[in-house]
Amino acid sequence: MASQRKVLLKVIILGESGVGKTSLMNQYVNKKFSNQYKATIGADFLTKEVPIDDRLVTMQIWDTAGQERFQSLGVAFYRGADCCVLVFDVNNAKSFETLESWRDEFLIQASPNNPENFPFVVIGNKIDMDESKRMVSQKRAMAWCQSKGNIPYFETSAKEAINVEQAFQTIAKNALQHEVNVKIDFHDPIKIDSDTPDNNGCAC
Amino acid sequence: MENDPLVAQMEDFELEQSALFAQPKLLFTRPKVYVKTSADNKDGMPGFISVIETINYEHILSWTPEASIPGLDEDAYVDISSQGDGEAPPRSPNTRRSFHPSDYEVNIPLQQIYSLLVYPPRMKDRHGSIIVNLMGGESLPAFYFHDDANKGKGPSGGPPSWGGQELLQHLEQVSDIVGSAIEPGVYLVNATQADKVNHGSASPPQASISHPLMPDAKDATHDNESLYPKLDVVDPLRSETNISMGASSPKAEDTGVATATGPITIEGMRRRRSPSRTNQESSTTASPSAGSGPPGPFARPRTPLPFENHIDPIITTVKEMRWTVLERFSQVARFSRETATNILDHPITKQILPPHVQQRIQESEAAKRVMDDYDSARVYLAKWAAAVADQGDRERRELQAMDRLHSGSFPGRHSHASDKRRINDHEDEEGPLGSFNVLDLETECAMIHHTRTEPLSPMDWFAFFDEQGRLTVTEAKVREAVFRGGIDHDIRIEVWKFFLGVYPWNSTEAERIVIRATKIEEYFALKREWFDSAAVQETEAFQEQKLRIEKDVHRTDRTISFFASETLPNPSGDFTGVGSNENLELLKDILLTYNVWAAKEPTVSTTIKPATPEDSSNSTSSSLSSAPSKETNLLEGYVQGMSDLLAPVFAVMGDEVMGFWAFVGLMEKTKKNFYRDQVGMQSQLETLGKLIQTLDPKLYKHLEKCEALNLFFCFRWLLIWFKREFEWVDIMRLWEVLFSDHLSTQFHLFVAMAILDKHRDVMMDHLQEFDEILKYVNDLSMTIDLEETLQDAEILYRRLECLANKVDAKRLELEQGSTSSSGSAPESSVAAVPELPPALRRLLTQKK
Ligand SMILES: Nc1nc2c(ncn2[C@@H]2O[C@H](COP(=O)(O)OP(=O)(O)OP(=O)(O)O)[C@@H](O)[C@H]2O)c(=O)[nH]1
Ligand SMILES: [Mg+2]
Repeated sequence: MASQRKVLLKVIILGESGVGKTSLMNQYVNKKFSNQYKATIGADFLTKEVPIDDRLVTMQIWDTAGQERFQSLGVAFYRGADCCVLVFDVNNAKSFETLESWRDEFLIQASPNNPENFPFVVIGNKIDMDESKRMVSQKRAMAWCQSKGNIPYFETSAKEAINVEQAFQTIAKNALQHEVNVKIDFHDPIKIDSDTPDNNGCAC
Repeated sequence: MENDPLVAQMEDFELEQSALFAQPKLLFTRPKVYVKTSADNKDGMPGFISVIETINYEHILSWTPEASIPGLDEDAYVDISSQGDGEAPPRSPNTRRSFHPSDYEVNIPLQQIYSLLVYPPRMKDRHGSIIVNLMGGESLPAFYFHDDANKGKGPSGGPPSWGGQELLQHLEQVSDIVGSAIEPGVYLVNATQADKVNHGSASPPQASISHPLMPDAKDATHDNESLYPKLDVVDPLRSETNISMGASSPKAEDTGVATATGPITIEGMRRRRSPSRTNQESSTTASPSAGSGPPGPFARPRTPLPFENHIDPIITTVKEMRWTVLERFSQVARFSRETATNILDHPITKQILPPHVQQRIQESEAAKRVMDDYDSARVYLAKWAAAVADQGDRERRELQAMDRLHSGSFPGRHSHASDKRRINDHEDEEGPLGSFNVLDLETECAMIHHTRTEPLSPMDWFAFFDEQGRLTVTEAKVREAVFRGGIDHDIRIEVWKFFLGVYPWNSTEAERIVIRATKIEEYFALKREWFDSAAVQETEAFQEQKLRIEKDVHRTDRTISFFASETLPNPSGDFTGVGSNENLELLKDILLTYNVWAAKEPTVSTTIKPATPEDSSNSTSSSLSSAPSKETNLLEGYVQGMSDLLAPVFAVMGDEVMGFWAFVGLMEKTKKNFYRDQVGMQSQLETLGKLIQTLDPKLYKHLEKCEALNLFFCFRWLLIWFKREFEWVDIMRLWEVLFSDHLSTQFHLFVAMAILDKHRDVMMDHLQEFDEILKYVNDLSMTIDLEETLQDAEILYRRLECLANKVDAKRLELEQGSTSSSGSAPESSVAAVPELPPALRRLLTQKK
């Protein structure tokens, strides 16, 4: 099948309802923020081409509903994930406190081969809001990430496009790493020409 | 069983049906195919060349200028074609203004094509071209295939893809194409035996197109310059062609090789051939010059610009179809871009790449990316195919409506355009009811019409009541009227109150005044429980619910003017910088009050037997009257999705109190969707699955193959009654039809089935994985035609009903005649008659 020819990285975004999962995904893929995204019902995904090192991979980013009620649905989508992004709202302590259960639930449902080494990335979102609103300090978040096997941690704003690109670069890298590890005998038949024009070669 | 004569008969019938109800298909399309518009214009006009299969299985070769596609973002198309050498396609505003791009459109049935002159790309003519010679002796201007991006330097040495070759191969699939042995580069289309003989192509085609276009190793070394050596040699008449076609044709020396007998022979053949063609094709399409046979050689084109479109009725239809399709295409493109799928950001997907083509172009840089984006490309292709099919559907419906008008039967009653084909589509896949063939099911259940009509007007409505304001017609009659046409918006505010349980059907106006007063009291009593209670508001549960509601309300229907403004500061601290308005605040209050109400609800037993799913409370044992069991209340207040359900109801009611009570009524119909254990959703999805399995076993099988049988891609549809799938005004119409409970309290499942039915061909042809289906279905949002969907849903309901009746009748017959009739086979015992799944039986029996 054609799918063997390409590198498709499946990324799952999890976290409480309203922390900004849909906004982050849209900011990353479409470089847009809107106050009018609707609460996610069911699941959807966007894909994006990402150059990583010398190869171009496709990230398939899954956005699921945050409300626990619908988690039974979400698990159908976890299968085959290459990276799991845990998102919380830095202005909402509860959204941070539930990260643990999101992580556990993911590991149970996706049952990756090597749960210890499964790549997670944690994102603390909405840092654009007034500092006085902040409920979860960077220190606290980082401590938790460290305790879970050094999960990379990013603080972002989907609204102001702060750090979103960086976070997803890491997500893509770690997902690719995972994909390569999982499929040791995986051989990508597509060789990228050295004269490949870098399509993302923006002058940034 | 398979060899049963009845089955064979069925298959014949199906064949017939499929011929009648097939949909037009886009078999192939290629962008960046240029036509020269004037000699000084270097490249000419870019466009799309396509092969279309009409509903009659006619095939059309079509070329549409990019410029005539409304709203097409040209920049978006530059990318791929210019990638090879950085040369952007020319823009010539002056030329553009001087003509109407649509003047250049080409739509030619393949029957009208006599031959093709093929000039593959060479060093001197990088693009390569194809000239189409018509039966009438005319030629179309050359089509230049600017597919630079796919050309050359394939690292693996594989053959590069040339658009002209692609086109030929697609034409070959739908017509007989043979290469002329005496005139290299000439390919006869659906040639007569005589033609073939004259071209030395009668016996095993030396020049069958699958081979000659592929680089031949031997020839390639022998002629370095040629990319496609075997086709170097072109028709001698090409030189004439060059004159009117302008530059960049093969050089004169290339043309000297072929024989001089060409034109004469061909002309002779053409004349012999034409008459037989005229009766194949309707006479209108036959070229006028065919009979008289002017001596002009076929390859001498007239000055082609702007060339004629060979207009005839069929072509006009096709043209219009194309137009609309391409217009929709551009809409799809824009829509997708806006809705943030990045499918279209990919240059290759912009070309609507047929899946099998990707094999051949993987050497190019762009192709690598399409490989990566293959799934997206497939979803995208599927979308376009759907648009084409949809157009065909529409036209057919219109035609049928016209027919019926002329034949004087019920206006407004059309049969389901394509139902027969779909439902008869059983040949090799048998659903649980596969053996219904025995029942002659298809023939008898096929001619079902819908009954949709105009909305209930205020006049109609008021005529239902006497002076006291009491209904004088039966409730059932009102339900039927609303089911069939919906309700005029002006009276929704009143009518919905009946359907949503605010007013009893048999109430008088005086009673309703009292009810309104009580409802106001009741509502504020409920609201006070939280509004006036600091203790309640301080609880964590309340805070959490409040936050959740606020978050969702601010994400609900903000594009609807009723909810759009930000005239109030947001009272909630959590939305800094995001304003609110009165109506949003009322939505929040209603939802918080509903939490209070829901907490008082009699709890529902969690032990819903899997065999009797969602509808236990609708059946005989009323859950309200029976003593509530002491189990958990499964609803537990606000759940995501409820704000979506509330918004239209509140907007129609226009005030907080009635908005609340109408919402309570709506929740009575939908609350099981929100139960914590999700059993309500699960059982609905299961029932829908059975519906698919019974009415469309092929689709079911396909979903199974895609591992999509969980039907999660329908989750959003069912959870909030298609709220995200239709525009605001359509939602009100759809919901009132669902409120009516006329045919079934579960009519929304037939609506779901109707949408799937509409897209089943596309899904089966193009989508192969669960995620592709999910994406495709999600992206149907806001593109679904409501009226058509409701028509189809009704027909699907009737079809199921017909099935059930057939089963019953058959059983009865077998039971009664088991002694008298000579049982033809052991299967024809009662036990062998399949039973409709109980869940589907319930769909038919649960109505008001
Ligand atoms: N200030 C600010 N607001 C944000 C940011 N990201 C998201 N929001 C807002 O937070 C709310 C929720 O955002 P979504 O992206 O819809 O949240 P979600 O995680 O997808 O929520 P669910 O779909 O319900 O699971 C919206 O009103 C957004 O506008 C951010 O970075 N800064
Ligand atoms: Mg979301």
